[in-house]
Amino acid sequence: MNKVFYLIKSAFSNMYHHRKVAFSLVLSLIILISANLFLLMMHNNLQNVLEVFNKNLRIELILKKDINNEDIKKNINNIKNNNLISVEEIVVNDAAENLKNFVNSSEIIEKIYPLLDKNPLPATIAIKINFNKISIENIDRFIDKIDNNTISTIIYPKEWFNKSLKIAKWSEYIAYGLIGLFFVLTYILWIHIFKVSLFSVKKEIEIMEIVGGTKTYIKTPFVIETFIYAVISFLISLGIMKYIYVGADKLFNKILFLTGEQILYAFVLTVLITLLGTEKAIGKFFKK
Amino acid sequence: MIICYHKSMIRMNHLYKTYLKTWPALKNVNLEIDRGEFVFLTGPSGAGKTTFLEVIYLEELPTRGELYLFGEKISKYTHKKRALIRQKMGVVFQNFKLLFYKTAYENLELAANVVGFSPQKAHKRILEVLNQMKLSHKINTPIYQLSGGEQQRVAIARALVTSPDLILADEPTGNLDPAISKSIIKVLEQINARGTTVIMATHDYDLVNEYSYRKLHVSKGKIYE
Repeated sequence: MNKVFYLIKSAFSNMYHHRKVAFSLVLSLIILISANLFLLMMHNNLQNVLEVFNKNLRIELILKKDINNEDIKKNINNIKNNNLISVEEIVVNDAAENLKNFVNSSEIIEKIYPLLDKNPLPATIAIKINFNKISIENIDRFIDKIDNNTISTIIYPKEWFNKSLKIAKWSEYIAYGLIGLFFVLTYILWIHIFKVSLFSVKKEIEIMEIVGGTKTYIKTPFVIETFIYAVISFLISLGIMKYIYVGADKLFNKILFLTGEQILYAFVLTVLITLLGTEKAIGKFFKK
Repeated sequence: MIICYHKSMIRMNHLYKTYLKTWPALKNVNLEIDRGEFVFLTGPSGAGKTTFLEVIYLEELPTRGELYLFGEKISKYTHKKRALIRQKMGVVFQNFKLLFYKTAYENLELAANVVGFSPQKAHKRILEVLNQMKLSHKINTPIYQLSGGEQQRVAIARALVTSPDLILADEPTGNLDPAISKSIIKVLEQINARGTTVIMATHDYDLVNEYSYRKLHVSKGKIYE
């Protein structure tokens, strides 16, 4: 217990001795963590951005004329109960509604419409799908599965779906790649910056070795110090992100913040990376 | 239970230490140093005195031969094992190796904490040792404000604070004037009188010749009695 108390005391003493470089240490950490959290937030909102592009992208089922409501319900259940894709929205328009929409689409049609003796349009079902974690093969299989004799035509713009999926997939890869890259950068930069700060206590490490300090004993104050820096930097970065989020939410609607799970993972990863960096940096000061 | 007591604190059998594979710093060293001995290690600069001490406090590993410390054969060791062996020793350097921005008390506290003394025990022992070194009045003085002789006494006090069985002093009087040098040796004699083994390396033959303790002479890596 006494040793623990002394090591914590040494950690604060180290922080005091490092006060000149502590600012750059914390600042560089804040920049790197903020960049990571920002990328994570961007990733969360990627679906929203893609949704804007894919607003009108849907699969349209044109049903056969004169089918009854039971057939429409069966089709809807078929679509809902599939395990191939995640359906975001199903819009059903019966024949009358389609006619109404068609008539309202132009003044000329509105004028000639009374000449029709019966409604020539069928009922339709529009399916909007969730682009998260699906493949074009699954959409193909889904189309095959829902096709039946009550459906006259399926309008499926495969090429556009393919492009959208590729964009979603690559955006995800890029986001994760950048997040990974920033974490690697954090690790490398931390090793170098922390090593610089350790030069001021190089002699102290040497003396601690001479008087019989074990590696764990010598490292512990620096590990505690790093943990404190990591926590401070993370909290400041999270504050900056919250500030950016509030501002962005006013400009754009439906902006998503980081989830609790993401915050926890990012925190654990930050602490882990800085501690590993410290371990690596301090390792260079031991003679053997 | 069999308790094995080894009279000799340090034993070297056919010990060699070679740097860069070709430059021999120690050649075929065979010797024993017993508990409670006071040994002077003499020789010109570059003869191998420091290497001899470095091998003992495990800063350097022998290239060949056997080394026994505190009755235990030392071959390869981990950092932890080395640390635990070092906790039984106190090392004093010519350049003191003290933390200059810290006070005399804090320098000693560092060593006391490494061996796991409680704050009360550490405080009591630090005061005791500083008193023994006649430095009680300098307890809260930063090292950079102390004279050379005082700094060396703090260094000895740091080596003593953990009550080690062995004190290694590498040219402790090298930077000090004759009067202060004698006072440092007097301190080491007092420590030795309490049963601690002392090995002191020096190139000051005049100083050594004033004492009747065991003398080991190092020349070109070889050690002569």
